[in-house]
Amino acid sequence: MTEKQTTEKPIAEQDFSLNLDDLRPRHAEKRHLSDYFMPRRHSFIIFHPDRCTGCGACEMICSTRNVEIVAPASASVKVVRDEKQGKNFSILCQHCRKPLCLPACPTRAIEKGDDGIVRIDKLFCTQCGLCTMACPAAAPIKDPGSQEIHKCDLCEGDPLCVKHCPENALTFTRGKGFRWIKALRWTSQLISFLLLVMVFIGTFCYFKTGSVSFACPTGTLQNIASSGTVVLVSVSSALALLILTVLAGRLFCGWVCPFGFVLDLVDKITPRKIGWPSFLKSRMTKYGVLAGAVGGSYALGFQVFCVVCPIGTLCRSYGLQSFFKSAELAIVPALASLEIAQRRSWCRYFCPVGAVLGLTALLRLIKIVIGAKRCKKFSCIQCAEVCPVGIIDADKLREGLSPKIPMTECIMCMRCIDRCPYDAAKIRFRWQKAVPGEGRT
Amino acid sequence: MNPFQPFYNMKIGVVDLSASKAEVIPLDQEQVSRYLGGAAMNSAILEGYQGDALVFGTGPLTGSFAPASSLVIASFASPIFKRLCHVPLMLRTGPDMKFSGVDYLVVKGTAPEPSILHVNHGKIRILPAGNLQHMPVPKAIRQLKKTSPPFQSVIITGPAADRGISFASVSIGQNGSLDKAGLVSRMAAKNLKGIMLGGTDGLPFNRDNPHQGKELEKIISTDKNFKRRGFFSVLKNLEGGKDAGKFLKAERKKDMACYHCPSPCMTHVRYSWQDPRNKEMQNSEDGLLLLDHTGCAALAKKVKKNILPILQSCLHYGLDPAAVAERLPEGGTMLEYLNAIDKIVSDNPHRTTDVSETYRLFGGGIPPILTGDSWEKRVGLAMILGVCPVFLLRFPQITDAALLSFISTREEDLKTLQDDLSSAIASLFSPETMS
Amino acid sequence: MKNRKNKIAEAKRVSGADSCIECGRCVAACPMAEMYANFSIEMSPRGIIKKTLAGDLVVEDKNIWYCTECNAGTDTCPQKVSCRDLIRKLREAAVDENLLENAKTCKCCGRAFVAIPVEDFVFARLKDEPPNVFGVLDICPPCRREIYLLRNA
Repeated sequence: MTEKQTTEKPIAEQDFSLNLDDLRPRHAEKRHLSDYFMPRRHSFIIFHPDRCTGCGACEMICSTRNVEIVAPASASVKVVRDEKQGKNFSILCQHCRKPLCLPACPTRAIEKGDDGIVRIDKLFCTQCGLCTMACPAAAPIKDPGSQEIHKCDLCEGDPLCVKHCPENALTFTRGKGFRWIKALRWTSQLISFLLLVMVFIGTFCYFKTGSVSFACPTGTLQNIASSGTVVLVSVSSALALLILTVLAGRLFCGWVCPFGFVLDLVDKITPRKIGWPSFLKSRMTKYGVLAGAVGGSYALGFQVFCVVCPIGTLCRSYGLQSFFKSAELAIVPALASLEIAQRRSWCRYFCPVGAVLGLTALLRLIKIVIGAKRCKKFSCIQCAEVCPVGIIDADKLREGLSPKIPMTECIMCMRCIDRCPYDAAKIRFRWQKAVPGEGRT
Repeated sequence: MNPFQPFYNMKIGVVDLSASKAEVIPLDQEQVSRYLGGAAMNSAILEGYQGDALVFGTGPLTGSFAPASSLVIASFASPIFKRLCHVPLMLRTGPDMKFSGVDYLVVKGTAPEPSILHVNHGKIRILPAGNLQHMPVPKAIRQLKKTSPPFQSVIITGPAADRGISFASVSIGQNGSLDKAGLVSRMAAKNLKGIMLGGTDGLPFNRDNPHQGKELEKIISTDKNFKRRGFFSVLKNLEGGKDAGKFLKAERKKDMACYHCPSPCMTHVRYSWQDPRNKEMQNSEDGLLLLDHTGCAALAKKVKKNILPILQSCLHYGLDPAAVAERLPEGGTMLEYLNAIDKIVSDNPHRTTDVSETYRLFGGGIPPILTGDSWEKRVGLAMILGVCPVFLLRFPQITDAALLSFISTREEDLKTLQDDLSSAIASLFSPETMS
Repeated sequence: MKNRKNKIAEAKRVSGADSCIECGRCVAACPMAEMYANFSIEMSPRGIIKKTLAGDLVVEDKNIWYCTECNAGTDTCPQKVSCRDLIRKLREAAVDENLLENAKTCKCCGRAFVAIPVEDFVFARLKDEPPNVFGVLDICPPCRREIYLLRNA
């Protein structure tokens, strides 16, 4: 016996017990390089309830894969029919992005693969049925005979039910391909940045009078408050921006604002957020900042906020000529660093330009709606995760209800519409009551 | 190898209600080879039992990937038409019966108290149904769901049957059926409230069937009749049917299909109406599944107003809408009609019927989409193979050979099957009188 | 009380509990060891079988409500004792005597569909996850599917 062994406990007293972490360790999700540029698009099956006639062909063909005979009760899909309302639904596993069955399985038999498919490993499944208990749709189905749990596995990428549905009520898709809205928006933001910051220096910000093409509404207000005069040209150009807001919401914030572009870039390189203390998280603060700016301008006789405005600083001081010339340059990095706390926290809580546009958005003509019937709710929630200003109520979506999206806060970046694989997030006119997925037979 | 082996459980259930006994025995292979199944096999089985027995039988293609393979055929001596009748029952009853382990079910004798059968896993249980007497059909089904062992479909009689009304019609779930031959009277005479089908087992069928089913669907999808689907398109073919559409005022329509049917001929409608018997209540919203084409056409001819509440009332009681239509006065108010229906249930007047001979053979409910000989041939084919007759009438391009190829594609099998099929169909139309 | 004796006798007959040789393979296969921190011999299949053979107080025992009815024990049992059938019959006996504190009934249809310790386990596992859909755990799976239909169609 060596020196090392004499200091260890005798074998009879050592603890050799194994637990699940030893037998079935959970692996952290692998991150690919492409995940930084675009989200993964997995395939999924969409069900169209308006087309379904309740014939049950999907159950028939699915059962031949599970038990090799036609036994609709042993399929991985269940057709639920409501005779009074005349509705049919094929319930099958949605391969949720954050599956609830996964943590509920006591033997860790359920895993979400790299291809996005949630699978039950029959080797470890004890058929306890807790996955069905945890699933909000009760999608795993217990075979009434053999007691096995049958759950959809997308037929490993070539689903049979999709091929056999006579009404094409089940479609297999990877969702949207090229994200047009994203491409347009980044292009728009880049061009606006180049024009407003590099080329037409000082144009946007009213502070530097002289070459006025577009005028910031907040600046206009402060100008009126501080100087007591109304310059018609600048008021009318500020009005142009306000009219745009009435037509299209706070489109400026999402697509044009150069500081917003800077914030989006900072956001890309700081994926981990540290969060705000909750007392700072009031959306009303920016209205307070606006009131302070206007009131201060009135009291002190010069445009108070414009001195420290990050948008103005960008537009005025970062041109190619005046690079690194003034102390104003520190304002933009300082305020951009707020991004580490929460995405677009400047826009959410502090920006008075956003405050003015938000007030104008009360008169908006359009709104963004998320149709709860078409939305896949708990299994997806990509819209709530991707929204930079965090105004989509994820908890409400999980309960199956359409959340009301406050258009005074929405910066119309349309990331939700872009991301939604089920076409449930759409733009509608304010007076339209019908949401996607409803309003038809 | 018996080509029928994967298509049948090869089991027949024999229920003796008088002795409260039920057993499941093997099916005679010879008979199956000779008669194939469905109505022809039912007739052969019935010969072994007394006149008042009734048999529910599936066809070989029931439950398979043949299009619209939803049929179970109830054969019995009809007290209304005074002859042997074969009534088709669709939706999902046929497959559910096969998937409950029996292919044929014979019911004889009379139960001492109201009973209901439950079939699953090849076992038949006779359960008491006293508490379901005089309950409207939807309520009875809810009650069954709560207290009985689970089931997928149910064939049930309504409160009208409990009173022995000749206008009564059997109901599949709460949706009515094509029974105009008095199946329900037979069941009521036996004190049989209904049959619950568990439907949780399965059958292997033929490996090529899914592929063959899709091929057939492709063939009919090019047919112009395929586009005209739903209840209303079939209704247009019937006498009085063109106008019937006017009186079926629905707010929401949704086409519904039976088991594995690619071309739905039923429509679920939602409508709102003001109940004249209850003036204080607001407009009530209701929904029902329209599947009885001849019944609706007959009602629409008589009742020149929204017939949906009347249909709903018929389904509620378990009445045959066509028979009710013959009793209703022409051009009355909604209140008068509803009262008339209540009166029919309470008074049980004598029932007249003017359905032609061949229609009587098949229960009088299958719509005359084709006429004469072709109608007979198609319906006969459907009733033997276990495929929906309405579907085969709408798509005559589906040939016998195409359907038989589901069972077997071998040349020698097909020849024998074709011959047996022809003789089976011929045997259906031989003269038969009620004993 | 006589009814209870009959029920237990039937439970023993249906499950074959009398043939238990106390080898403990069922305990080794049982997922309850991973689910419950307080997993003890009393709630293990072997313990339940032993208690059933000893008398009829087992019907009042809370320990019969921890099982998930997965049947893993039956699969490994050399005597093919069906612990799932035994647990089911014991729970039926408890329900007949109205000893329902440990059975959760569905809010919609009223049927008892899950044992409360089992449900607590699912709750505990889900509490770390973002979703807050605990409302569905009060409803049995068939009713849940119907609600899903009404919400989505």
